[in-house]
Amino acid sequence: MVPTKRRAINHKEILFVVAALVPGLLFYGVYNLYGIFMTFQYSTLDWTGISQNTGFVGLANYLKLFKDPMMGVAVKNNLILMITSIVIQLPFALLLALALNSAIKGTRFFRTIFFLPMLFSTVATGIMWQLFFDPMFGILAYVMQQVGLGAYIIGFLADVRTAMPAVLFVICWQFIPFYMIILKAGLTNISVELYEAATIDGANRWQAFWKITLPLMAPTLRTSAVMSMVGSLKYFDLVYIMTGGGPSGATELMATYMYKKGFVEFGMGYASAIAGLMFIICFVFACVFLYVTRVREAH
Amino acid sequence: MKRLITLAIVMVVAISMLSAAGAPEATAAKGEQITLNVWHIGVDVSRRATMEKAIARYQAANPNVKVVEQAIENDPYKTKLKTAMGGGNPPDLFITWGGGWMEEFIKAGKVLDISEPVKAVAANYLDPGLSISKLGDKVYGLPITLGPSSVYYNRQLYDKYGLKVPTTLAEFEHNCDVLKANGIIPIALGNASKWPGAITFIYLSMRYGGAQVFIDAFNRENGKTFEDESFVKAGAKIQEWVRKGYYPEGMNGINYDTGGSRMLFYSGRAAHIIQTNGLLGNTRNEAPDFFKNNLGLFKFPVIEGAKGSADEIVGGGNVIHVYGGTKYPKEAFDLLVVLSDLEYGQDMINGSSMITGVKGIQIQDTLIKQQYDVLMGAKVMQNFYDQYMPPALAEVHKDTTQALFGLTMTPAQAAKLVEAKAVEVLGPAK
Repeated sequence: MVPTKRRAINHKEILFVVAALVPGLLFYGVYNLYGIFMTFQYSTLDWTGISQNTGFVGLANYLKLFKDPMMGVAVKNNLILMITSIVIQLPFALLLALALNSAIKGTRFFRTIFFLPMLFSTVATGIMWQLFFDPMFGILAYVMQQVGLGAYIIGFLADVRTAMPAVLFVICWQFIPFYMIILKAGLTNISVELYEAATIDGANRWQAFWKITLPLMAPTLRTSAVMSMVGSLKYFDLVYIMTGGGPSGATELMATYMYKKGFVEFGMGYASAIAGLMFIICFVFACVFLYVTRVREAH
Repeated sequence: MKRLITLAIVMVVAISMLSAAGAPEATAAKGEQITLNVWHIGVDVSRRATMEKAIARYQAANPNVKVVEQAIENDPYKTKLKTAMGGGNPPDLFITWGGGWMEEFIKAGKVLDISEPVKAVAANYLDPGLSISKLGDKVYGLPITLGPSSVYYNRQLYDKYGLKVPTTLAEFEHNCDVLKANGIIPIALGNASKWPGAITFIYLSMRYGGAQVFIDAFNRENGKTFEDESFVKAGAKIQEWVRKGYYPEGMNGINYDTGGSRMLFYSGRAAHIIQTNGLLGNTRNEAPDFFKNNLGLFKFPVIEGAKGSADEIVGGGNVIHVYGGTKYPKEAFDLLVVLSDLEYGQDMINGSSMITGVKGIQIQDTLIKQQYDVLMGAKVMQNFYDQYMPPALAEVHKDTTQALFGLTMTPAQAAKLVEAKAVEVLGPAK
């Protein structure tokens, strides 16, 4: 009767697993799956968002989306944000994490300082940097004035050329500490003995970094990269607060554009189509990235 | 597991019972305790106190009604109200800005038509106030703030440089040139949220073409379109002023709501600000000394040889409405009247310097009196284009106006974009 007994235990275990998962699945189902499903349903409607009347329009919203020049601008801005996030945020975060992980005195102090931007509320951060960039009262303008660059002072958030870089800078400022903490946790997991062994074998610090730190950090970096990628594709808040997508669409992202279409212009159906497209883009990017990096890891 | 299922079933049943409870009924039975929810945007201390006082008056007279009031910041309010209207849990009373935004809610059946009951009190309100509360000839609300936009100026700077209050645009430009030559920014502007700059555009276009051009273009009749030369000229004038340095650097990035442009004005670094009626209350709260010693106002100047008159004003206000699906329309309407009556209007003037659209208020302050006279003497009060037009078209109007200020679009291009959207939203011009 041994096999039956085993099955009985399994049965009990499964019950426990299911019971433990149900609350989580319930939340996930209601707030994620149901939401995603409804978004796609709304995206096939001509709906203002407040009215009881909805007209089914099929894929018309999506067709309109592909012809909308502003959508192209938004996607382009999202891609710029994604690339800067990965190319600037992650290496910087890794540098800071390495610095914190070294034996320098006062790392605790610096850890707190470096982490501060992450602790501020996004709205406060946005308004603070808005004031920083203010051409009349801002610190940046003041400093430029003092060092003789007064002629170059412009409304940094108001100029189509500088608005996007200014916002990107603030986004990096806010998120580098976040990845720093994740990467720092990853570094802590690497056994010190490996470095000791490497030192005995005559490896210098540079070699140790390339041969030990980086390969062992790969899973953490990969997770960070996915988070950063998906996060920047659906990014909204700092842009909404600092520029509202302006001037003239220079900082418009898919999410701010969606908000504008849905809540400002009463086009909930169209906004849902934007949300649907965002979902698809995020999903595809995440899948492709995970697949590609998995192959690399196997090598 | 069984418990979980039981719990889940209980919850589902409970939730469905909650939402099923209470079919609509005409009025509350005598003595029954009812609750009315009011949402508004008077977040500052004085406006909120006025609102609370009016609510307290209503509650004293109607002890069976509990009024729950919520003050919400301007922009979040719009999102919150839309979500509540779509999601099915809206307040019994709420405010809008009249015009196209209000119309969206009326079309969705979310606003109670009060044409009948309002007849008993309509005579108490000013005509411009009732006109922004109407769609066609039906009345959908009552005005709770109302006022013209004016040119506000710093009297001390005018004295210092020997300037006279202008009545024509040429005189105004002369003043601006003198100020500019003396290192003062002629006009403060915080145009990040786009509507502050739009006020100037609206005034200029009205002064060039007269108020009727916009109305005709909007109604798609009499051969007028949004490419009319008055709109193009307004854009060209704005760009001329931008190039001459009338505006602060980076005005499209300065946020009016967080006070950027008002700081320039209060600190004397800028001499004028073209703003709504709300500026009076803002100044009184934020810079009381400036309000007393410096603040002055005049009507937007006329352009010599053009059609527009100084008595065509740009203005607007807030309208308070009853939700179309409220369970207690009668009580809600009574509350609506109290929240816009003479006592409320007097408190708003005394506490916040804001005109409200009710007749018979006493005004002590000369500046507010002057503003009130502008309103009373107006032949036409044009609601802000961005409030008046359907939201999708209003956004294009605001975006293009911001681009005009940013010099990233020519006046003709801007007019063309607005007209193209108008054809899409309103239909072709006749």
